[in-house]
Amino acid sequence: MKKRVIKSPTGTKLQAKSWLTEAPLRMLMNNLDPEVAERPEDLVVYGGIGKAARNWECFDAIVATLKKLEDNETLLVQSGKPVGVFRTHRDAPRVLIANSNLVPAWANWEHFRELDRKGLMMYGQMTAGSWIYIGSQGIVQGTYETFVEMGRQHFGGDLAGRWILTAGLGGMGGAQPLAATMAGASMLAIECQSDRIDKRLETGYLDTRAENIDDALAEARRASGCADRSDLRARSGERVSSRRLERGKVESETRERSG
Amino acid sequence: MEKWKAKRVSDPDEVAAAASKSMAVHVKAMLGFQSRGVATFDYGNNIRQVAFDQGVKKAFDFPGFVPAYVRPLFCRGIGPFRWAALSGDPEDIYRTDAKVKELIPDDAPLHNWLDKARERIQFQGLPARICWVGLGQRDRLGLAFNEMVRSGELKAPIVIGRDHLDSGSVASPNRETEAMQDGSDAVSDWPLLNALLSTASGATWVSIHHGGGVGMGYSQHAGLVIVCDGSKDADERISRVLWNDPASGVMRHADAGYDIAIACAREHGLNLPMIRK
Repeated sequence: MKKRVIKSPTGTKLQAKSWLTEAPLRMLMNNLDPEVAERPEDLVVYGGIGKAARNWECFDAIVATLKKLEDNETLLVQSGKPVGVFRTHRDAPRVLIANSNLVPAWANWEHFRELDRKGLMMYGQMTAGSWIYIGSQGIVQGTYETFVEMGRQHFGGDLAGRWILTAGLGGMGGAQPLAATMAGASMLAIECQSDRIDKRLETGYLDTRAENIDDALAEARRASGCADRSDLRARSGERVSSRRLERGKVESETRERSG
Repeated sequence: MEKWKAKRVSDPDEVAAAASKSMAVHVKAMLGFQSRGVATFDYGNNIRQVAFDQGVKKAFDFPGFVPAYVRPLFCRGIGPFRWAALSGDPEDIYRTDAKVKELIPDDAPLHNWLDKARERIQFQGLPARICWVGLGQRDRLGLAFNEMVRSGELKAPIVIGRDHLDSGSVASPNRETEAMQDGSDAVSDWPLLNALLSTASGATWVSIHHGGGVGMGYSQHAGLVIVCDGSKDADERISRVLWNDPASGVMRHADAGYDIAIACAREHGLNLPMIRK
């Protein structure tokens, strides 16, 4: 089967009968845009298996139904499948969605997977199945807010001269260095997979890399213009990644710091 | 690294066990930093639970990011407000960015975020923007965006939504509702009421989900999206939906006894029968 590529229409020409039904149509399609979605060919938007519709047949039926939906009707979607259209009123929602809900005693992965295999359910994550995912901006932003609030609580709202130690530069963790810089701090992030560091250097989420802890700390000192070990303050805007931290070194470092 | 990659296929259980041991070391190091007075927190990846299961009894001595830093925001209904331009034109988002700065002139971190986001973050699909705002701001912004659609300042309607990770819309005891001060972490009446309220208020689409973020059995949460099509009807819906949604988050936290939420409820005149005036 030919691979389908979905993109939201743009501009002011409507496919549906009003903007109230055009909007969910466009946002459903936007969730599956190859720039937005993790695996659009499988209808997966983000988070491993978070989907926008149960299968392609359901996707096509949702689109067809939204195009015909009147301004006094409401479409019901059950785990990614359009199951009914009911007469409501102008101020009612045009779409009501329930995804992945199970009676509590059955609410586990084992039972969900059984239902998923039978085609009875879909994992909606949060904004995948509810058609309002907009890509990685949200991850950077949530991390930024967390760092800003930390600065408010501990450092009088100013993170300049402070640096954050963390680990992991994958899909979620990779947002940390950019968010730290935006919040006015610096960051030392530890990552064992070299290609992940490369990816973050390419996109400008990360400024530089070091291969071991001594170089990383030296970089932090250099950036801060401060040679005092007890006051390792990096200049705002410097993000350093250290790879291959040897366990022995981490442990000795820890003992030293906590001793 | 090569050994790790090979073992992931040949013996995934051994790799998982080794990773758990490594996480215990990691958490011990974090506890060490904390004891030296460093602000230390878990950013929502469950690392403390793994370390605890490995015998690090003090793993939960440092907090998760929600109780430490996000909850004070949730108490005021502040959360991940977002919108997208159905025109597909980035200019529409830049105009709304400017409108947000105009209407909220005194929030430096917010202005900083909008400037840096424009500079550093590429749009994916339809142009969109996120910024964290709370009760009293979301409805103002929504009405202003609707006016911009009506006047033709924006080329096409805007949709406004949010993540389900928000003030009043999620029950998730290992993340968003960790360590609620009244112990109501697992109570999921709140997100269900939130969804019903959004429906009654006239959101354009409303959703009730289970298992997002942390997996099956661990969360229930609700979402909403509302369209600014420039109509007067939309003004009415926006003023209800984008007030009630963050207000329900303030209600949830006031009910749990948070002083910030109780003060916020008072300041905004929320009618909460069991909260003393």
